[in-house]
Amino acid sequence: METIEELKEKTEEEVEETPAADFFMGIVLMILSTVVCSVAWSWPRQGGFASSAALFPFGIASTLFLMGMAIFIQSFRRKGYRLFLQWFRAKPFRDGWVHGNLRLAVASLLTVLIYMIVILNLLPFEVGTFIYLVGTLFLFWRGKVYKILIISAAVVAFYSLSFKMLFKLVLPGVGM
Amino acid sequence: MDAIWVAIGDLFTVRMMIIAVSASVLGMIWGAMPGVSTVMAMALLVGLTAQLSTYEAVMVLLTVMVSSVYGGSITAVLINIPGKATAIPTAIEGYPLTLKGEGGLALGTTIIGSFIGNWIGIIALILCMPLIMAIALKFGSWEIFLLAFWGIVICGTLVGKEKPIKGWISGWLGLLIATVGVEPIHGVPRFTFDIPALIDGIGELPIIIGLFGLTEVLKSLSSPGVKVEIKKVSSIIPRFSLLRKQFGTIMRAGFIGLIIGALPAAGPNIASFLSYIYAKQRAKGEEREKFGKGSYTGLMAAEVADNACIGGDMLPTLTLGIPGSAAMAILLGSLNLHGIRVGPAMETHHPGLIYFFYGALIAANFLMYGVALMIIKPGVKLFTMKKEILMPIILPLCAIGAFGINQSIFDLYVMLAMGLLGWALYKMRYPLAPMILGVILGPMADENLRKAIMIFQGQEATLLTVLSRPIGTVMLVVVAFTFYKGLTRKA
Repeated sequence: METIEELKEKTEEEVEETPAADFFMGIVLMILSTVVCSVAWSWPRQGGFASSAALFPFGIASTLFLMGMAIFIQSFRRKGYRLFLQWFRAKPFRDGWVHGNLRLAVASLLTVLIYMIVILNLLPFEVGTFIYLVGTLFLFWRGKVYKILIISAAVVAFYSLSFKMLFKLVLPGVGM
Repeated sequence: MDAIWVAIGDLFTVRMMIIAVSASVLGMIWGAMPGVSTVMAMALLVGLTAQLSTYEAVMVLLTVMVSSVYGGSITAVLINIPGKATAIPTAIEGYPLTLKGEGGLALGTTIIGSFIGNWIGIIALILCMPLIMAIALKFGSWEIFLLAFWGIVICGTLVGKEKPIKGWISGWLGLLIATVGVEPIHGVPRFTFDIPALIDGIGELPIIIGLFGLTEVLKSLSSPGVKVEIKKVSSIIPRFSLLRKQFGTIMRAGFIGLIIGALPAAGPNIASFLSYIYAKQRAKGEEREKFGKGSYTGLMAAEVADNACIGGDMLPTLTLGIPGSAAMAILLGSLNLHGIRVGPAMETHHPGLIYFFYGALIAANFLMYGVALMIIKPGVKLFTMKKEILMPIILPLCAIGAFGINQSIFDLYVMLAMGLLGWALYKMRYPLAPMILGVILGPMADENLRKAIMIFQGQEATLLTVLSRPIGTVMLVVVAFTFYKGLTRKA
């Protein structure tokens, strides 16, 4: 029943209050919608504003501004700004790194970024994906080296053969 | 009548059957693997379906959907790890049965429940489609705009849980993304920033794969894994005698699944929980005592509702072009890639396609049944593959899917950006389903709103004239009511 309890906790977590995130998001949304509104206002308006290209984005952005303001005010009442500032203090960061999932989060983010931005821009798909898989499986799974090598090689061979031959797809990477 | 026979003929070709069986096996394995949701499985496949014919693409996506919805129940019963949130009630009732040595019978019950649930959905779909399509044909631009808009609002309201505003924000962000590119009425470039790749707008496919594939990879890799203990399972026996005993439960669960499925984005999560809770409330005496300790009634209620949702989901998707769930939004995205626009005029523009949908759903249901019986026992090891192995393997698949169609590195970066955005939004407790609905429905809402305004301007219509359109006015009230209910919901 341990897993069920975990999932229940996860479901409850989904509805938890997030004042710090709301504070941040409120500001982001207000800035974003202001920019969208001002850009949309500058577009040509054939046949008047009501049927122009700007109408829809302008309407969406202006209501988004109101929503952003609403969550900003709500978070402000719940001391969201203070909690937001705490994000930048060393202690919660250190706690998250040592006891929480922060280390895993950073590792997964870096893995994805390195694969997508660096590896696929420098190496052919097969070579790049093999290197990525070996590195990632070693980092996250920590299985035996020979198993990691076999799995990585098998996955690359499967992807390359099935997508290139069966689906006739061009795979990403250098020399595609 | 000819169209029906043509559709059946297309369905039963050798190539189609091979594709369908492969998709069913793949869907079941993916559905059973914790961390790979139905939506993710479909998102990863959309790119590949672009290489197939329209009918083959429909077959693949429907089969994967039907099989993966069931697949989630396998690990729930066997190892107490629901493949997805919809299978939590199944785990609550199924795993205790496995501990008692009745795992095989419990799995048999879930197979029967899913099979019957799917049939309820399919029959309701076939019966209700013509009626809803006839009504939908009366829709003008104004009504279509309101419908698309309502789809996003209700989706945000339902999946936003205690905070509907977060659901709406997600939907609105999707609508904004959809406005990028040259707009179709006056040809004005919007938010293109002189970048040639943005002239045609941001493709739906990299957005879908980013939001539902890459986000899931990041989510799974950044949380610790769970230890798995596999119990022995007796032979899997689907007992049809259960149907007689559980008839009332099945009918109620089917009804709940259908109604919940037909609401945009309410989806099987709500349906299976609601149906399970309702069955528990109705149970009396000894049966009630069994709930939580291994109840076949609870198991059946959750499974039937979960699967009946599929038919319910498809109703608004096919008749109105409003996706009933994120999975349906992906299906629409795939159809868009093939130049298919679903909606009331679908039968006129694509004769026979609707019958193919019916046939494909029926075939997918039978395949689910057969494949489940065949692969459950030998596949247990595979279903329990650690996410630390699975997720790194999925990332190259996301890259292939996003890159494959246009062979554009830009699409790859869009997918990356969407994955990061989806992960950030998930961390801040924003639902992602409304965003994808916004992306899919945005162009439809934008174009129809402006067309409607132009028509009203041409007719020199007053507010009273606009309000005298009965369907439009009803929809306007529905939109306003949905907003009101969302705003007044207590946190």
